Amino acid sequence: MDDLKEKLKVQVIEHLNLDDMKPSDIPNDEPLFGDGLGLDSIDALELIVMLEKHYGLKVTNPEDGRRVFYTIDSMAEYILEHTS
Amino acid sequence: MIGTHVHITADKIVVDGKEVAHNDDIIRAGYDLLDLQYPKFFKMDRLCKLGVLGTEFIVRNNPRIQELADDDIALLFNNRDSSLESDVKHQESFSQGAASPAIFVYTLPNIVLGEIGIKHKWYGEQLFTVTDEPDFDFLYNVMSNNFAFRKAKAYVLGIVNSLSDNFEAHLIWIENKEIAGGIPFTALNLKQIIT
Repeated sequence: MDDLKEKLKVQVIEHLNLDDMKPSDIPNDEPLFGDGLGLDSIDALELIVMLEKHYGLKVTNPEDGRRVFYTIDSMAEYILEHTS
Repeated sequence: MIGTHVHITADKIVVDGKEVAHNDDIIRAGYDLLDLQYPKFFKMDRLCKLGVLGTEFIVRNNPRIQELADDDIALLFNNRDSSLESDVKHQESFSQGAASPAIFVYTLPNIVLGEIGIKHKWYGEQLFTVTDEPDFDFLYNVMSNNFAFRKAKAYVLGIVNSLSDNFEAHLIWIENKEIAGGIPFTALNLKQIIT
């Protein structure tokens, strides 16, 4: 689980072009959107594409999206639930 | 008068002739030095990072900025390569399957003006020009006219360019009145500071 979270941070940095950011800058439990990492709707699109590309998971329901992309923790949990 | 001058190069940040940071990862070093705590910064392309970082040094160096109204402060930027760095990345993202929205939003040079305006809630005049070399007479005339017609009381002048591994930024604070330790506002003085 911890490995997956670290991998997710690297993928988030790569997909969102957060060039000067390090994985350690992203706490597992801090909101990715709004006040936390400051992501917005454009970034949400990138994360949806990222999840499909790397994990074969499609998030089509906006309500699911809010829950899945809330934090690194919630993304990792969703991936583990749907890929094992 | 011309006040604070910030100069950012690949490994240095110099404010009013004094080196404040020296690092191979100068943009991150500048961010950490200022303790910016502005996560949106990391989403920006390098052109925007340079503009936002340089402006932040100006703001920290001029507490009197807070006394100006949000539409008194204007932005005038110029560079040679426009947003070509992000344009190329955007084009490359096509070949990898799909365009990236996160890159696409930076495919205009004037986005840096918006990023600075959003961060500081400045709503003054904004202009970004693209020329092979800065035309200091033109830049001076734009600012002088807006001072004369009371469209602005202060300017952040930025000469900010980023392409491949070559990047450099000059950010200069200019006011329509006296600045302690400042130098007279003329096209020649601007040219001498920057070149």
